[in-house]
Amino acid sequence: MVTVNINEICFGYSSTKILDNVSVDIDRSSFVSIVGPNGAGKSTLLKCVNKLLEPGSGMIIVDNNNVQEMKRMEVARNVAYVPQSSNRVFPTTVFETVMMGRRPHLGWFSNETDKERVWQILEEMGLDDLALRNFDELSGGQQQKILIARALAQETGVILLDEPTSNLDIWHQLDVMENVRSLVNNKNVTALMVVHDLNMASKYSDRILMMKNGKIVSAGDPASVLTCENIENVYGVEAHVHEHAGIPYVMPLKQVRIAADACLMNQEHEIRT
Amino acid sequence: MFEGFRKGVLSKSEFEANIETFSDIRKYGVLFIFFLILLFAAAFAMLLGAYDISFTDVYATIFANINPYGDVSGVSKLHNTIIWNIRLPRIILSITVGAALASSGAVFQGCFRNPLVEPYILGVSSGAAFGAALGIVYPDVFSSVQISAFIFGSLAVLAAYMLARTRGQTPIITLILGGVIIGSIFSALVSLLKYMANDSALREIVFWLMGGFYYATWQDVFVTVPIVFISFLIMWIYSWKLNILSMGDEEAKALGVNSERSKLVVITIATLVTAVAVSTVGIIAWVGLMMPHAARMILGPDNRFVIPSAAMLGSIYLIVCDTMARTLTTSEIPVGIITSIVGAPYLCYLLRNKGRSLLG
Repeated sequence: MVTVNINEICFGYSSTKILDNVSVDIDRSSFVSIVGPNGAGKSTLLKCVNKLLEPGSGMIIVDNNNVQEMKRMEVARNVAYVPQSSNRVFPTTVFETVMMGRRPHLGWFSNETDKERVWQILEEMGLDDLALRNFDELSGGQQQKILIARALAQETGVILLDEPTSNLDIWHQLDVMENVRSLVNNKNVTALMVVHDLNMASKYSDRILMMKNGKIVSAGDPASVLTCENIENVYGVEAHVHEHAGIPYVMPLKQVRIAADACLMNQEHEIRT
Repeated sequence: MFEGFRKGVLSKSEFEANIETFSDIRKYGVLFIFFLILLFAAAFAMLLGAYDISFTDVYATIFANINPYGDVSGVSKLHNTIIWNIRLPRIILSITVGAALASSGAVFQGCFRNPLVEPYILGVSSGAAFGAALGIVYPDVFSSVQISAFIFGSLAVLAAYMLARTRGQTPIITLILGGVIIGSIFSALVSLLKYMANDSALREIVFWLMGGFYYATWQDVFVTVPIVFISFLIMWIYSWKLNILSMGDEEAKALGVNSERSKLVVITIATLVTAVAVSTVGIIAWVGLMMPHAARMILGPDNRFVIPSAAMLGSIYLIVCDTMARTLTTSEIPVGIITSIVGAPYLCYLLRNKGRSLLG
């Protein structure tokens, strides 16, 4: 069954198109990774799904509702978002940070059941020992897990993750990916993740969308997307793909050509948004 | 409590059940204590003044005025004037202005995600100063100094906002820069007016710029109290959105807060109260910068508690400073001088001791 339906989305400023007629359906409780070179429009696509950016044309349907017509608060009750990192000016504790995820349901007040809910989530993710620590004092890996916990507190069917593992060591990368995988398996959450590490994407996701220049070039299960031809075509990198326990692993060998200028221009635009 | 749990004194369920409730109850308790201190400070300030009036006389005068069946003719006319027409409106006005500046300071700091922001950051004080100076130098054209100060204070912020708005968005950096630009233009204009003014007008402008409650009247009270009170309530209602806004625009949107609209609402309201306060009593420094920090040090960063506690601390602080201003010497010292002299060492202390945890 389809939860997120992305229909002919275009996004861009004046002449440059960052998303060019992107259409894709995402099944309920599946783990979908979006991969592609810098500036391919991955994050832009992700941000269109929860209305952080509004596409120039096209439509995004989440659970039979048109996202563009929903109020922000409604979107927040249906789609959660985990940013790459979060910095704050005034120190907040881990508990308060996760409690923020309840706000779309609560508003000003917080009641006992919501506090219990937050505790439960912290416990499930093994974060309860950190509850009273300041968010800023924690390591990048812990912060990332707390941001995922906050997304969980939103109790949404869909969770979007924007490069959650980019700043982490491999232990924490696996930790975050395992957490997301178990959410998908156990809680029927649909996860849509932008990720650079092809092997992480391959190991954990059900489907991979490979993007280039604002278009989806290839979509499907890891084995069908992560092929030598696709990687050379999209990244300009010659790679060796071998299989281990049914999962393809990518070993990059050398650059075939320098990334096109068009990509760099797109990247600039992406940063500006 | 956390330690108690770690050491095994508290069971896990006890710990979980208590931790947040306890801290919320404690915070409401602290708010209540602030309220008591505020009442006490106000009551005590009523007794102090250049003219010595006994405790019983002070409160006899107040009750005679409050009680609809009371008889004001029973108290001495001099006492009635000093207590009812001078001290009481002045104290109510310092409570109002303190609350206005401190709560709007808390809102600006949260909204701009910057601990160094104060309510005057968008140029409201420079604009109001220009308006007041115009009113003082050209009394025929601008009949009311207060209204002209209010109008120009609001205009300055509007100009800064318009300057900063691009593509339907108002990035905080450009907004602050806009405030700096507009502020410096109006400051230059104030200097120009000072240069052109005659001696008595110049003296009046300088006094206005230093801020003070010397001319506090019941009329000021009736104008400012309702505006400040209603604005305070709106800011308090928005406090949870402010908590989310202080994580940055993108995360705020993802958590369901319309950041552009919320920012516009809170900036408008905070500007309104600041403009009302400044146009009534002139520029009083430090309250709006310092009190939110003091509140955060005591109650943590949750704006639902920071805003009311900062407001009360601001009121207490201004009552203390204003009482000092009118009792320390025989002639009055402008209260803005005292708030700065008392406030700067406090901020030094804050910076040296809590700077790292507070300002990162």
